[in-house]
Amino acid sequence: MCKLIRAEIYRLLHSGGYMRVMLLTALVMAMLPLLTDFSLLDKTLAETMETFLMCSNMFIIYLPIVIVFFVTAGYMKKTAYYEVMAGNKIGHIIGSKVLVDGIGIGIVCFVLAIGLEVVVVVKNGTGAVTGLPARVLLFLVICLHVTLMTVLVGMAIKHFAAAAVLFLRLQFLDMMSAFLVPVLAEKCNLSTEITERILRCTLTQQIMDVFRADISVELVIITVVSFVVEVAFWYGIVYWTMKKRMYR
Amino acid sequence: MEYIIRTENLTKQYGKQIVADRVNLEVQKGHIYGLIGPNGAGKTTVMRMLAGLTECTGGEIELFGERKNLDAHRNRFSFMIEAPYLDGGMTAEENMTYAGYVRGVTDKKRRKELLTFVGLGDVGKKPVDKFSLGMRQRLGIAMALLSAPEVMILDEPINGLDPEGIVEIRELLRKLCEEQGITILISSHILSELASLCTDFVIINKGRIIENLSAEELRDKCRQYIAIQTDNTERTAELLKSMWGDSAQMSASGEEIRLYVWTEDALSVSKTITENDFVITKFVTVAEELEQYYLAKVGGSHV
Repeated sequence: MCKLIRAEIYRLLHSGGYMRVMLLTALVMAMLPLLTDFSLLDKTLAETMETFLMCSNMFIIYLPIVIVFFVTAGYMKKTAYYEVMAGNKIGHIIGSKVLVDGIGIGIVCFVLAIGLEVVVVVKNGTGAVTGLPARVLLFLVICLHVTLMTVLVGMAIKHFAAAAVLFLRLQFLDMMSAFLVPVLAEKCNLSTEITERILRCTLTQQIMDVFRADISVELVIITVVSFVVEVAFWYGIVYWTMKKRMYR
Repeated sequence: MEYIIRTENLTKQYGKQIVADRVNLEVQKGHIYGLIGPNGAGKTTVMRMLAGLTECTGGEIELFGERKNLDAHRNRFSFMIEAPYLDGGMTAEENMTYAGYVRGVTDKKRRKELLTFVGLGDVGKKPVDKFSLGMRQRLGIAMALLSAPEVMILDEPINGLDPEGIVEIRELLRKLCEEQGITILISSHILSELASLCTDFVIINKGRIIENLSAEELRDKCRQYIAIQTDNTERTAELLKSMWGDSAQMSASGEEIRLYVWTEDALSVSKTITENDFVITKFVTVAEELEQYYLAKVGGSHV
């Protein structure tokens, strides 16, 4: 699989300026809090949490669109097709893209996203924010959740239309859940606690919780489990389509 | 005999449509096979099944004598099916580097040699998006050669090449087969090229292999005829038809008579014509070529 990882990194760095666009988008998104609030660098982390929350929401919605375009562009250019013909195993092909385009880009985005927050903490301290390491780790899980899901959605759909599917997933599914889950919970006589747990499975709510709520074991479990379940779901679809030789 | 590829009743079906129907293909080591058939005959589907790009609905594939773990054996193959994989945003060198990583070949010298070999040594930083179709085909072939494959499966590799390029690629493939013992399975619509390159031919139509023959067998089977022109070709044709029946046919252009008889009969044919006071202006023995043979086999005019 090492050779495929090297190939994917090479493609990422040389293919049509995607890397430049990705980094530029990430950088703009990372600097967005500063553009929103010029006095940000003079405040404590606690005072800037709402600004960072708002910008993080945009960060994890718009950056994946660039990533999904890169992944599907590869499919349109028949990369997977070529890698299969070269005798590589399906698991290795998926693995290399997941590692490079998902985890690799996810970590880069995470570092860029929290860069400004680190500056704020170093300069002015955390203020009243508690459980900072846990919040940072959960934010990393959310970043990986978004980038891995993005890569796998792109690999499952293998077309630029994946961007639309991803946008619907990130925007409408979460938004609809916020309205529909309480209604359904009421009809099914579910308790408020269960309803809240279900809502906490959505990415939008998880980001809000990382910035606003107290860090609890339940929050950690729900964030990690929803990440694992969704990634496993999309991985299964990608593996199945490749096993069935559904290439473009 | 050592077979690199063997298929047994290989079948591909999309819904009710059978694209490949019980294909039994045997490819011997060191031979160049020409896969010939009209559009939609199933050539590319068979190649895609061999490359692992599409599942077969029925039958089995054997690569290097094994029916299991085919992916591992595909590493010894090089495929160029439909358009070659190329990233338009990258240069030829970058595409070669990517292909090298995928195949585990990192020899920079070999990449440069191959690019020079296919005539792309001086394209510099020009992105592949700006390449002509012929240049893309050459790059595809260079990429296919990168891992020093034992078998090459090439689908229409000379499409879009200029006449000079076609000759170069033909000579290159012949050299690869003769000097490095590479087995080649190639499909093309340019039958004259296949005829001068291949050692074996597989004719496929409507998803089925209708004939599998060597170049020697093809030469034996290609019918010979005598092309005749006289000062009155039409009346001569009537005369020859009265004596040799359907063996005497007018050419499509109506300018000459084609008499499908043994060449040993040529003397009696010319005697008959001159004895009937016709003046012979052309009398040539012609052997049919692959193209005519193929058309006679598939019963169509579209190659």
